[in-house]
Amino acid sequence: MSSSAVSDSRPLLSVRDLRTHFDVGGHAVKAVDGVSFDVYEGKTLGIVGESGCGKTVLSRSIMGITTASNASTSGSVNYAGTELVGKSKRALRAFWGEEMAMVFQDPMTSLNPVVRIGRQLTEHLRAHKKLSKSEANELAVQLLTWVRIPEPKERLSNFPHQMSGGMRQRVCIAIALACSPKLLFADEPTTALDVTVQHQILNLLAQQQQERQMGMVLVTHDLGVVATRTDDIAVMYAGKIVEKASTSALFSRMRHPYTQSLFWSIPKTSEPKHTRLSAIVGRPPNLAALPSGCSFADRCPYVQPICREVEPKLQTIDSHSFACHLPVGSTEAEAALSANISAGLPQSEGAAARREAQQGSLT
Amino acid sequence: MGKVIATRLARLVATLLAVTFLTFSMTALLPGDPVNAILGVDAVRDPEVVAKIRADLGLDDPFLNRYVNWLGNAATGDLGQSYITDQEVMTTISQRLPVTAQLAFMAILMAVILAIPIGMLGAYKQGKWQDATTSAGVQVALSIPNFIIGIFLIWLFSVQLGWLPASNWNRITTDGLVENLKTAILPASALAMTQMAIFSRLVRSDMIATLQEDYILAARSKGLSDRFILLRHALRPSSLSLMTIIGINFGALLGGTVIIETLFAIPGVGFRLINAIYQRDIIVIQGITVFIATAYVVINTIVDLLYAVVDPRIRKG
Repeated sequence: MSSSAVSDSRPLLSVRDLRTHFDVGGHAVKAVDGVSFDVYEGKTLGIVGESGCGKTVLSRSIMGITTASNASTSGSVNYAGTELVGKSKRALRAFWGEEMAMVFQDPMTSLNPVVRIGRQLTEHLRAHKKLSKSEANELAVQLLTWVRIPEPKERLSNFPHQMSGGMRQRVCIAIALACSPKLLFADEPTTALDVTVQHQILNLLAQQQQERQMGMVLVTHDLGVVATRTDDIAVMYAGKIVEKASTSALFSRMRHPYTQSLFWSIPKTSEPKHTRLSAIVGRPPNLAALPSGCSFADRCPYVQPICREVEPKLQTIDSHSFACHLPVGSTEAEAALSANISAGLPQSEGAAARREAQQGSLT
Repeated sequence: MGKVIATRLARLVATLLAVTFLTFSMTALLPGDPVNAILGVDAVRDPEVVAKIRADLGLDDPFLNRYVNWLGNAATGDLGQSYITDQEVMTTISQRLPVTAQLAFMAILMAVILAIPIGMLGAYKQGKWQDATTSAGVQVALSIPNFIIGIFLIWLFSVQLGWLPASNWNRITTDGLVENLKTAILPASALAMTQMAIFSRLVRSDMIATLQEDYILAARSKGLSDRFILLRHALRPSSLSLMTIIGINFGALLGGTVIIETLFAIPGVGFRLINAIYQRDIIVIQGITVFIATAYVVINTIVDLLYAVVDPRIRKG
């Protein structure tokens, strides 16, 4: 478990073909369906996708903290040379908190309402490292200072309801940092917070990640969040990774139509006022009954008959991976889009409007 | 805090007024004349004697007058005398209420001590054999009436093993604690079984809900052991409805242990209350009822205050 054995070239966390299926009434709900990626020390991986695409289940499956009795996980999770899938809960517990930690989505519900902040900050430290009470208290003050909570000493005796949402998320981050983990999962850490607080929390996370050279997995539904704060991005759709690249490569050239649609759906301040928001047509597919072929086909502006028949495989070109028959930017894709627009396909309307606007600005 | 206690006191007074008025009208509505009970059915029915007794007891006064008179005396601590035995009601209560209160307290204490681990085990091992076994046991305990359990306990511990007396009551004040407990443990256990079953079901279902909370998953992700999470994170948030039921059932036991008191020949308050009802001894019924009602309100007030101890969000509410 020591990090010295891990050289820079070897990933801290290596996930291969990870699958987590839930058995619901005899049907397999494929929440995570064959996901592979690496996370390196000191690097941040962003996992992006809509609600219900399996991002939360993914991060919980990697740690092994899923508790549902109907869940089954297969594949491989290699953490610094140790295989985690198949390990007993007791064995995994040695990794939790100490080696890898998690910041949860909602700080309103992820702190115990009847336990004082001070104890929640250090109880796992005391369990793992056998600290005395006064040592633990000192460290708790230190932790709260790191996450920039004013008057840390006074805060130790507070209960969670006496703090604001942003404060509570800072406390959650402090709890996660307490044992100096090497890998941090942040599962939508700012979704439940005010917009004004979101940036502070994300900056705090990024700064701690840099200082401690942690590997970080930042899970979010917001491409805007990961654009400036990650080294690599994996885009998830219906339990699978559909596009994966370094952040700069992904933003300079998006290959998967879903990634492009996500990007288009971010409102931009440069657009004129009252510009219609570009939403992705339709809903994510039912994970218990996935269509054959590409699961994004029903919502894709570029969709062609082949997309509904053959499931596209994840292919890698210049370390940029994507799973699409008609990758964005290819001539086939442009032709398909033109055909769909003239056929009046509803999911292509947004693309048609965008095309018109572009041509308008050119002339 | 002062304001809280003031509202509680006002509520206590209102409750007592309602309770006494209702019991007073109930006993007035009951068929049968208390004079008959005093003189005995076979006694010579001399109308003059009957009229004199009625006048002495104030039975000829209008209902409201009698109630207000009784209330005025009660406020000064005089609950009157039994028509039948001439004993002061206050004396009866001071002799008998401690006996019943001790039984109820022991029963609740034993029930809680057993119910918390049983309920927690059921919730932790939900759906597994440990849960199925304890749930079945709890179901059995819930469906057997407590006097059957009492009879079984007497058969086992008194008749077969000869360890404990089958009946009677030794007072702490005259016989000492050990002798007292020897007579108290069997009836208290009989009462505790049903309570334990109710409490453990409550703990189980509340804890199942608590274990779904995000903060339990968060605690798990910190690498804490399951035992630590159950005891230090899940138990307190799961105990609010348990506290409510403890308060209600403790009050109910004070007036409802009559079958067990009869079975074990225990001179408790329930035993006396039933006799008083048979004998139309209105004054005794009234006095005992007031005491039980007071105990009820006081206990539930304490429970309300304890909520704030268990859940900090209720403080300064």
